[in-house]
Amino acid sequence: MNNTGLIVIFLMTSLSVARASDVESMLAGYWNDGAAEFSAERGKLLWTTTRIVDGEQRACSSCHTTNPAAPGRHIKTGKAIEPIAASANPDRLTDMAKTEKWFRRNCKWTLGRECTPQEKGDLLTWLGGQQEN
Amino acid sequence: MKKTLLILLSFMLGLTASVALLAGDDEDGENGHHEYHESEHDDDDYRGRWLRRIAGDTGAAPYPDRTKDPAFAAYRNECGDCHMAYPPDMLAKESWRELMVNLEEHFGDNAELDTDTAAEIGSFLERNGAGSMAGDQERLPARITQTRWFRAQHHEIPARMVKNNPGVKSFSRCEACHARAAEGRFNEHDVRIPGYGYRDD
Repeated sequence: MNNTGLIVIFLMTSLSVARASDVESMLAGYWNDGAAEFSAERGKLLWTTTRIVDGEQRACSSCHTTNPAAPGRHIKTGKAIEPIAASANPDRLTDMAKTEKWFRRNCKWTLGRECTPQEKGDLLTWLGGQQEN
Repeated sequence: MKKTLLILLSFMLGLTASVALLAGDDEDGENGHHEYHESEHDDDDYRGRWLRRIAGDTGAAPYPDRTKDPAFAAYRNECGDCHMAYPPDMLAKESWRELMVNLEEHFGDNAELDTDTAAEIGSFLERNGAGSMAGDQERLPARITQTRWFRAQHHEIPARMVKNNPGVKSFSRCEACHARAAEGRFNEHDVRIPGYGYRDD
């Protein structure tokens, strides 16, 4: 029992360490690309702001809901989307290539352009931080 | 309650009749009707015959095992992120080619991929896409739902069961009604429309 508990604690610790380091290395990359200090507040604002793109009202929350810790639903296909917040879904934000792929696609859909390193860093800071949710 | 049942029953009867009519209409081959009855006991259903027809009846199996294809995982993971990874033989290779060069404008969504992944999935679709669409000669369907076989199979399903049905929302969600869609099985006996129950027609 004690052993199991220890193993669980160890696994959880190593998981969160892995996650933190992934997010951190992405943030370091954005910082290298010219971003300034990152702000969870700005990330949250970016997430919830609705814009008109291609004649449609679009926001991150169109598919992910306003609460990133909640499951979402693709606005067109209706397919279920796992929570995006790392607090609710430890698999999130751990794969840099995947995260970048989705930033590229979804920023273009939602903003009509790619996100800047600053915006990506702000979003990651908000989505990666559990306490801000 | 009884009234509802009656309405439902007559609706289903009407549907059965229209499906039978449709089958008769579309089966212009010599033994079309024979094929139709045979298919009632066969998982190799209506689509299988369409597929053989659009593939020019090459004698290839209608449900090849694509899971052994080296690019299957890439196809399933990338395309399956937003919607079911549709059986690639539901659309002609020409249509897939068009779609793959246009992923940035993917039916109102951005689905762009890096060059290597796009090439890998493109090769998968070349190997597994349907042959030329004999039934769609007039134009190249961009969507599976625009193909002749799909329309023939679904044209009598009203919008309230799909588009206006919160449990379905779109024809793009095969799996919402086709219980075994993930296995590539679309037999009519496995159809269950959320909020409407089984449809064995």
